[in-house]
Amino acid sequence: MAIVVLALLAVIARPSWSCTLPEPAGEVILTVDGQIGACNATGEARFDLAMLEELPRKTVKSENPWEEGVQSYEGVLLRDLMAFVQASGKAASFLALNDYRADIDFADFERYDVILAYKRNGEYMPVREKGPLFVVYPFAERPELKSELRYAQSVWQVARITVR
Amino acid sequence: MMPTKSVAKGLFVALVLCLLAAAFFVGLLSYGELRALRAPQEDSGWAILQLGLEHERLRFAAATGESEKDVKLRGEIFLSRVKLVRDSPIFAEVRASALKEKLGQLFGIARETEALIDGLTPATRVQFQERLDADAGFIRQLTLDMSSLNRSLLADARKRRTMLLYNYFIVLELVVFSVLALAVFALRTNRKVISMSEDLQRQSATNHAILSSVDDAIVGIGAERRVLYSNPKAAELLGEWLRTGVLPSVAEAGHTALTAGIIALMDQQQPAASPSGLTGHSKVSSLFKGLKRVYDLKLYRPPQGATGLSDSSVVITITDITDAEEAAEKREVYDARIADVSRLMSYAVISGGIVHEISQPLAAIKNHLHTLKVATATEQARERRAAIVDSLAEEVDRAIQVVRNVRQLEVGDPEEAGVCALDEAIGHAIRLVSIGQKPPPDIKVISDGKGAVAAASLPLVSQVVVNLLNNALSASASSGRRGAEISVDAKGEEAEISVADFGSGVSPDVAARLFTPFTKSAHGGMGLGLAISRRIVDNVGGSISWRNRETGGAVFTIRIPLAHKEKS
Repeated sequence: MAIVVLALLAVIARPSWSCTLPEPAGEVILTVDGQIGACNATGEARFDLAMLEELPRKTVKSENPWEEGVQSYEGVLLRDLMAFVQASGKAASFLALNDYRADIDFADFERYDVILAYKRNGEYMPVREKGPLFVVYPFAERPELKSELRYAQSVWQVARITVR
Repeated sequence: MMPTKSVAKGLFVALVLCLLAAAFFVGLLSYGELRALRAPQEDSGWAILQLGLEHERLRFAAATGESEKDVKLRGEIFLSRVKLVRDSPIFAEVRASALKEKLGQLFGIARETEALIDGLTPATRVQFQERLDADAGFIRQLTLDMSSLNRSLLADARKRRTMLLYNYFIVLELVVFSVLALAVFALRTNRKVISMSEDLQRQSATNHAILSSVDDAIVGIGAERRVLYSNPKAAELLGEWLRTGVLPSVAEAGHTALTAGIIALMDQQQPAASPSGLTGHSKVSSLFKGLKRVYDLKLYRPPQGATGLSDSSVVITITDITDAEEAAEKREVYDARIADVSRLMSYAVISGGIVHEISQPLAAIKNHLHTLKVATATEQARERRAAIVDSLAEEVDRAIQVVRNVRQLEVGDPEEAGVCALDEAIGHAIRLVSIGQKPPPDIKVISDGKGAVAAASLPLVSQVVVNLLNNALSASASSGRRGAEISVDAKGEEAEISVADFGSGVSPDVAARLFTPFTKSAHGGMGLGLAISRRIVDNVGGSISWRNRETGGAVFTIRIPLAHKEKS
């Protein structure tokens, strides 16, 4: 009986067992949930700035309608991030601080160097500067990406990513 | 015509090129704008709404006692919206619009709000709240204004895009039109087309010229002897069958000789030889309105492939040449009359000379008669009397010859030609010349052409030789020499009789008038001799010529045809 209960408990408590990610030390700026494998909380993977900065960095040049001229953004490639959280879905849904939501297919992560940027021109972005996290397409390097769709997918003030 | 054509062509090409250039420039100008418009526009309307919304949420957060952290976060979000309006290129037009002042106010509010957020403490919270409430109305209104402005700006952008699309349509149409125009132009200037149209023009001009010629009757006959066209004159002349539209194959009873002539011409035409296409020609006499007229018929077959007409079509022209024929007849009559008059003229000239010519033998006859009378009276030897009678006879002959020769000049036919032995003629001539000359003239016969028979009578030949001998003897005498030479050379069809003198030769100014009647020579003598001699010789089919000898003097040569040698 105890074994059965223990087994049941094991099944119930399973999520806690596979959450191998370290806990964020600083302020949580990003939460990833949905169909992911890695986690550090129940069904979620929470990140602070330090954790994101540990992941492989990528710098892309982009220009967009909200800034004047070409800006240099530094962040983590979303395909790397998805791999890190062992995402098993087909698309990621990005939620911004003001409840704006946009979806991007994983295929686009593979095709393009889409990053989740935390620095613009070498400086961290406060919320009032559309930070702390900004989905950036390499518009300057790939001008063919400049379309209404991609602009709509360039979510700033990203708070949460849900994998579906 | 040609210079204007080239100018027109040049202008046309220039115009087309201008159109193309215009299209190019319009395209260039529009392209930039169109590119800008085609660039995806971030929906600024939504951002404007967000601005108002975030302010409201901030107020709500502050009023409902949320944690400072949350209020600050909301404040940051609001500020980010304001910064968007302040800095983003998508709001450039809005910033530059009539709302510029109000936006300035907004930015002022945002700065103050920012300061309050940064220095937010529980103590300052109430103040913060009040501040937010105070700004709320302004921000709400501004948001609405910005919204409507944005809507109108978007509408303007849409209109501009439509205008540009129109521009592009215009450009496209201009290009297509220019290309078509150039294509047509190229086709028109295509040599083949031009030469074809020129051929057609030429042909129709020719046709027009032919048909509009009034004097000639023109009929065009096509396949199966059908009348293709005819002009009014043809209708006049050929009325009876022309109206049926078909040329009859056989001339019937009622048809005129002209129609018969046309039918005959049609039947006998051959393939065109001349470049004009003339393949048949005939003259026909026909009655027209009871009068006898003469017509000249010509049949033309156009050269192969020259026109669009079929090969079997022909053109017949009928020209009324009655007047021309009459004129020709009259001319012949006039010619005959003129010849008669000229003969009469020469008679007049000659008659004066006859007197001179006759007087010599007549004088000689008179002398001989006197001598005879004396001889008879004094009973001189019979031989002497006989000799005188002989001389008389010869002088009579000579007189007769003069008359005969003059008759030769006027009649001019060789019916009294006869034949003679040249040696006899020469001998007779020498005797005649020697009559009454003491001492007898020194005439050397180099060759007498023994056996040669001339196709001319003895009197004629001897008259000519006498004339030449007399001239030669006179010429020699005037140079202080005596005598002449005569030689006969019978070869082939002709005999050459040459008489040479020892004079000073024929001078150039005399040479020109040598054979002219009554040109008196410097050393006297007959002015008629050579003219008559030439006439006689010409009549028997011979010729007379002369030349100056290198050894001095002149030699006159007559050529007379030889008769068939009947005598042995």
